[in-house]
Amino acid sequence: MKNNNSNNAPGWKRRLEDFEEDPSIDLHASWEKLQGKKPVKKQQHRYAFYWLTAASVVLIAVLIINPNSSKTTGNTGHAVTKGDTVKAFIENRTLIINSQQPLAVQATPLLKNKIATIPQAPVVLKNNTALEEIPLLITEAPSVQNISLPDSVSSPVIAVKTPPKKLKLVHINEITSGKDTNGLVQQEAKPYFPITYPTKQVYTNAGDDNKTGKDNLIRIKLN
Amino acid sequence: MQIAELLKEAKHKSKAAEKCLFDIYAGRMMTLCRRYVKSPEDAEEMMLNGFVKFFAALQHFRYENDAAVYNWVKRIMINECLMFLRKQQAFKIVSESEAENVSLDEDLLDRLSAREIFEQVVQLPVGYRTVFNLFVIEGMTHAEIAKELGITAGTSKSQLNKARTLLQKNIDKVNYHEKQQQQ
Repeated sequence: MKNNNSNNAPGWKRRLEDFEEDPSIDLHASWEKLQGKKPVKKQQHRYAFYWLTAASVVLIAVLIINPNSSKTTGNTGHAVTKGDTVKAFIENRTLIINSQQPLAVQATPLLKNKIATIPQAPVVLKNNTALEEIPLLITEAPSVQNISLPDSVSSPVIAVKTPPKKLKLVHINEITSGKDTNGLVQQEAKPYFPITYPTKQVYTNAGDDNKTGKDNLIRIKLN
Repeated sequence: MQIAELLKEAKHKSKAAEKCLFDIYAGRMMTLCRRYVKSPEDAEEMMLNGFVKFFAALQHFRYENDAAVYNWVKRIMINECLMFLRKQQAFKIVSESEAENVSLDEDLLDRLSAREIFEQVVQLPVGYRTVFNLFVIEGMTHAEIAKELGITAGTSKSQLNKARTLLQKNIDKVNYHEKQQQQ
């Protein structure tokens, strides 16, 4: 058997290997087809999809954890929550209005010093002596009044009625020492500045100060 | 731009470098694929598949010289074509007794142009054509061809002899017709 390798026909190899057929196809179109066959782009799209999914999950988690970030705020900047009572809201508005227009509107609460009577039944002591009903001086807490703001202020008018306070039944001895009942009368008096020439003392009323045991007069000696 | 520089750029995913490499090798690879699969559409498909694998494997390729690059690309294309032919079950060849060894008259090559030789090879049956290409053009041994195609060495020799016989016959016909036209 002849060695077929000797009949390799090198001429055939040389002629056919170097031959390049005129392309019957458009190489530019083939290049475009080649771009579509490449698998790298799919992986890039896959990675982009994974990143987008992770980002959306993180965003949703943040929104769920922080629901307070979506609450609205009033024009004064105070965040109004559902838990706020109406009264607290009004008090806040009052404070804000006071700070904004301290001169324009005198929204200082008026101290209503009323003489209220105790509506309940009189207290009966052991010796069956009923206490006489003593007028009780009650200083009401400042109530919010109808504040009529001038036109220059753009805040709305707030009118709210405060609920009436419950009066507590107390014995007079619990209020004062029992000695100076006239002090009660004096307290309701207007500022009192008697000037006695010989002593040259100035009296005034400056609030309760029973700690030192002295009355609430300020004495200024003038020589 | 030289092939070494183009390969270096293509390793960094440069589209321009890949396009240049494609333009350099596409024509010859298309012709090579046509020698194996005959149909232009199938040959284009095999060429594109081969280039996809070429660009994907570029990261691991170490440049030695231009001939080495060409041989590597050619090897990829041939493998693609053989895979395609295996799927078509083109090598279900019954073992045959070896045919008489037929030699090809190299004088015929002088009378025919490269295109005519190419067309004659493409017209061969798929088994003959594949073995002829692998043995004569690529320089593989019958043992290597048998391993590649899943046939015996004897079958490979038989297919080659038949290919040569048929080529000889077809070329003689062409020469006869040309002579008659000249007369």
